[in-house]
Amino acid sequence: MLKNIEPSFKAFLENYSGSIKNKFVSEINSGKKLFVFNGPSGCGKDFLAESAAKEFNMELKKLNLYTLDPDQSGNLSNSIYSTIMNMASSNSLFGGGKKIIYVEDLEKVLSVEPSILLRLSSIQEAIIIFESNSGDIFRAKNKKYLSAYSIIRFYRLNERIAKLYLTRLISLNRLSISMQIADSIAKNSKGNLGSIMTDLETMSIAGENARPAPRTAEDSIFETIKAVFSGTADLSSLYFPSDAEAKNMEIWLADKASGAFSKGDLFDFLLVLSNSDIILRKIKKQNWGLMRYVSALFGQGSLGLNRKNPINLSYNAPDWDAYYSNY
Amino acid sequence: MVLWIEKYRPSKFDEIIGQQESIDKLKAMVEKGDIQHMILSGPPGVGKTTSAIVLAKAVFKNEWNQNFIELNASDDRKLSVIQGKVKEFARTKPIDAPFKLILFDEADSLTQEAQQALRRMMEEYSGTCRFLFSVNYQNNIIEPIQSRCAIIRFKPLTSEDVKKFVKMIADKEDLKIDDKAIEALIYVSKGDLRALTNVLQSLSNVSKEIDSEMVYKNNGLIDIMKIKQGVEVALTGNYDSAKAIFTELLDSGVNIKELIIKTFEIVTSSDGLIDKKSKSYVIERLAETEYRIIEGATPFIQFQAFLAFLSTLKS
Repeated sequence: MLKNIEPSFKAFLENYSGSIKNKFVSEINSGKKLFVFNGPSGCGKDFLAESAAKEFNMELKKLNLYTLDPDQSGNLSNSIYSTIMNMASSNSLFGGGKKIIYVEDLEKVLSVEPSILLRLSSIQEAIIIFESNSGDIFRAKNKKYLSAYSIIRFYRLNERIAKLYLTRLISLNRLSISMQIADSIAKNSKGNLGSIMTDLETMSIAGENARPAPRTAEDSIFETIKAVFSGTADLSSLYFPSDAEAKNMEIWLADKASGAFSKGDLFDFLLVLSNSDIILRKIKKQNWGLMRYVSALFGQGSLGLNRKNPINLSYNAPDWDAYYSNY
Repeated sequence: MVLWIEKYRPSKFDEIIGQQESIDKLKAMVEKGDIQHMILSGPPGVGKTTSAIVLAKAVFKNEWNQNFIELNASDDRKLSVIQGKVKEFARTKPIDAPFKLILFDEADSLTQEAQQALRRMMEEYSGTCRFLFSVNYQNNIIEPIQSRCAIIRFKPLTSEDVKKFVKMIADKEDLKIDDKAIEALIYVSKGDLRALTNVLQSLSNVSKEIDSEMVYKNNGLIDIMKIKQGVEVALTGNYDSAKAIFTELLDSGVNIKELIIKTFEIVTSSDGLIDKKSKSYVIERLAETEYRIIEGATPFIQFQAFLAFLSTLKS
């Protein structure tokens, strides 16, 4: 296991230095007790809470609401409320009584019984932080429950910060990794610091040659694209682990088709793509079976590509905005 | 009688066909004795679960049964059940090993709630436990779990790989399989070695010599030749007789969804049947038919509409 960076305000990373941290610290200093940490996964929400606990010498308790069971009468909202209250008021032997309670996650509270949030505002003994991943908290119907809470927004971290974090991890663990590999890890993470940690660990175990597998749809289709355009693809390699990946593949095909086909063939090919596009729109989480039709259509269109090989293809990305403008 | 899928399930890394890159990663982890949480993603029947079991055997040697647990989709996926099982397993000390392994098979069917709960458990028990998730569609796993896991991708097997596997079994079981039958097996299994092994075992009970016709006939409940005939008749423009053929099939208890899938396979795999241009229309129409049936339309009417469409294709 690699060592991770010790939580402290100094080590906390954000896109614009100090903006999130200073807001949080000044609100705590002015006596605020209730917070919502809103933002995507892997941008330092846990880390900031841990840092605060350390710097203010408080005890940090974490609570995952999804693991709570309903109380004897089958009431989940009571159980949530009383668990949080107990955690806040119980005095531990150490830590001088001051506590931070970090609750995952706010969406669960909103879906069970939002009025719990109002009842909690009487708490004086502890600081309560709710974690939240979605934009639900900004909905009008939820606003009234959250008026007492100060909302700290976290943003996806940019590549510069991702690299900075990676460099710190590398020097902390005394690893030697080439710049090129480090770049690929930072890029692969898409701003999720957790992924950086995991990928670096994979690298330190499996060696530099084992490239980390792509985490996001955009990257992993690149091999498929190359295979299709270089004529080495057969139908079995057209497997898409998600609809997003198929969608991206489709856009690549549409963008590059004009380089490979002439008039009549081009029309046929784009017709195939437009058919697959319709099907793609209909795939929801539950009917994945439709994906096979998409793969088949792509396969059919791409077979034509193979015969005209090799195509002189520029690997510049398509103009995504043009294709997505209607969404 | 031994099930062949168990008999021919690889027990060493070197026996796993294809997947070189992924296996190398797993091997390195075993050598260093350092295993991460992992997501094993890929289509069915390419060796995800097998790799997990091989990994467990390689790390734990003889005690692998005590230190490894597999939670299947067929088990109860209620949150409290998962929690109970994980807690019970993770609480005790691993035997002769630094940690234990928990495999969630078909983890993409876990609910969002269960995944949210798991993410805290993964941290809580990271001292004693490593979590493995085997999934078909990686996107169904929530981001907090994805970022905690190393992702190991399993690729679909190529026809060469499948051929190698068929020949290996044929050697060991004294089967005679001609080239056409191998082609048929590849087509029927679609790269899913588990399905392939099952087909081979049931065929071997009938005869030691396997030809392509047997393979097609054995393929599930549906008589694929009959469907092919039905499609051909429809394509000649004769709607009524096509309808009669398919009605007979449906009356004999064939599932409509399976019928659509098989029709799809026939349409995509046969070259001379439909010309290239119409093929994409037919595939799209099939997808539409299946979509409507999933959404709750009357299967019978939808399929008739598809047949009628086929019979208009004749120019």
